[in-house]
Amino acid sequence: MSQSARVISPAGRIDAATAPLLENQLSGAIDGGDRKIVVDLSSVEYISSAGLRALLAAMKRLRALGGKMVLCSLHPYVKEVFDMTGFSRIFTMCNTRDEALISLRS
Amino acid sequence: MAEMENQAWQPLPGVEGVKIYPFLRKVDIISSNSYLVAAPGLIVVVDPGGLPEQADILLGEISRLITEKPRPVIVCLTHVHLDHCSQLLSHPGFRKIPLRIVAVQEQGAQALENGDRAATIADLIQHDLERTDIDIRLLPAGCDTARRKEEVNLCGASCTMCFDTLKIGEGRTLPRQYMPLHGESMIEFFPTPGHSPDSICIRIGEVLFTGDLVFATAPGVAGLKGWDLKALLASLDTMIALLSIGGISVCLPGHGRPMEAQMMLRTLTAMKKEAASLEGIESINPAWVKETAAYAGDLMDEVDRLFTIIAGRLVYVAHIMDELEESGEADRLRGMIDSNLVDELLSDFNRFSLEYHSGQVLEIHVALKANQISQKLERIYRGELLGSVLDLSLVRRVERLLLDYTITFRGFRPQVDLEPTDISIAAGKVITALSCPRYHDESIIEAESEEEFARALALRIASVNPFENLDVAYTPGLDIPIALMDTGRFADLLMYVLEKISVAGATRLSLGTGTTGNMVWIQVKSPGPLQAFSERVQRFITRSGRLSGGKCTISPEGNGMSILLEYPSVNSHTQDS
Repeated sequence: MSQSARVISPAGRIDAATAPLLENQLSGAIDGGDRKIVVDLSSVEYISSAGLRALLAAMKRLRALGGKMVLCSLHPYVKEVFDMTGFSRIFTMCNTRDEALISLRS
Repeated sequence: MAEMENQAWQPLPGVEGVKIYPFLRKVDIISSNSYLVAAPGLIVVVDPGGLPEQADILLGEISRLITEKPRPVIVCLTHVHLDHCSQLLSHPGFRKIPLRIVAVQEQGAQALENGDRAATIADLIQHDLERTDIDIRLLPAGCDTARRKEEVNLCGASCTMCFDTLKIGEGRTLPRQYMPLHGESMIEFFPTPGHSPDSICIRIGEVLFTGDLVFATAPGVAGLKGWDLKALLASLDTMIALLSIGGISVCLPGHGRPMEAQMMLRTLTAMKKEAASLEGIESINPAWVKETAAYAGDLMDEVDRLFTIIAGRLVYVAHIMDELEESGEADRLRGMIDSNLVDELLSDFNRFSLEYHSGQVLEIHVALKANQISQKLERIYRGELLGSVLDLSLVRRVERLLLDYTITFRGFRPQVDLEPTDISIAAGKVITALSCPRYHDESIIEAESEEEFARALALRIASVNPFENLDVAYTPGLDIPIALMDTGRFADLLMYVLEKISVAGATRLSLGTGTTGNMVWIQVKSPGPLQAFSERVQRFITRSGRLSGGKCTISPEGNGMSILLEYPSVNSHTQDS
């Protein structure tokens, strides 16, 4: 099991067309043994419900395996979606990647 | 559905020895259907269409026919909108046909000769307009006054053109111009203005070519330059009468699939009702297209945001219910909206929007696409069901947005219900709603069944309050006159503004009402900078302000920003009127 955190940095839009790519990336990391994952959303300007579902599915899988996922650097629109949907309550969110990495170390 | 094979020669119903070749396309505004009719002594082209590749195929067929047996080719236009005829004007192949005659209704002929960009919709589809010579001007003014004959030159051969009126029952008559085709059969031309002043229908044997008659009441079509409701209603009546007397088995429209005569009859009858409701429609011109396309972009942004919030919140609540081992309720919540389909529709619009911004598609296409998507969203949106779990303001706003766009796209103004309103009370209600949850903790405690318990719990979890960290300082003004506004739209707009400020991270804002002259106002002051509101958000607020009956001004205020909404007082309105 990998001890250091894996950083995944999707870019652009996470929507119906691109959510499966993120899903594959996250599954690949988990299958490869990563248990601490930072999803750096600084380059994501839009997220749809398909994107939210992809993140949630990965978070649940990771948690079942004793791992943890932290999101960081949310674009204002993406932050708004997390706040308005309630997702802010179920994800750990940090302002920067460094903060996210530190939170996973503790 | 009438049987007719696409892009294949087949006997033309009702005339022995004459064949027809339909070129059928799906319905769009780029190009119409085209039809070739081959008689031993004449080839007829009805609407050459708007696409070069379509013209190439038609010209290939024509070339083969005239090589087999040289004969004149008459190109007839059902009207001069460029989706029906641009290839006649621009494709070199059409100019090279050796014995070519172009027959166009008189007003259409004038539009083509004068390069009229509005009448040909060249201005809407941003197309170059080339000139062509018109050989036969069909159905000229006064052609119905007396039966007469006229000799015309068909590329060296003389041809008798006849004008008369056709009796179509119940004392009605229909002006008609006709010319021989083969043996006893004729090509008959009938005026059917309404969609455009030059619209005509053409009959050969049992086939009626109907041009865009069946689309004349469609959104984005009704209201085009030259569209005439009164003329359209009269044309619908005459074509209904013509079809009712029999002799026509197949109708070939300018777009889409052929129709049996009975189906066409039912369609035209239904259109009469629809047409009657189009009184007061706005004119569809380049300014309308520009405005509507911009509106479409802003609207889809907000629809996208709201749908993502709704679908995302259902995913969130379902997840928590799963965690609480309430999987039945979780499944019920997931089934409330087809999030995959919503996502696909919204990303489809986004792709289209990117193509528009890169110059690949036109404004009119953006407006049409937004209409198509919002119609689909309306069909899958179950507001009442969603309202049983989610914040009613979210649900109501989506419904209003989709309806407003549909109405605008149909060429009307969205309904604005102005009513006398105490602005301070209306604003107070919105502020109270911010801190007043929809759920009652008692309903969880008092639930009598497991199902009731699960639903009460879901409602509690679904109650996400984006204003949790926002401190609102509200100062209602004193002695404010009653304002005239659409109270529902005002409440939605104020909620939207507060939501935007709150999720942008503001922890406090001030809000006040007052009066200046004949105007009543409400001002929201946020410590966040104006840049926190994108240009699109500002446009959306301004437009929503206008639709609520007021005027909106967004400006910097110190280090923050101010949103000022002004409404006329009832008194000023009475004085004005």
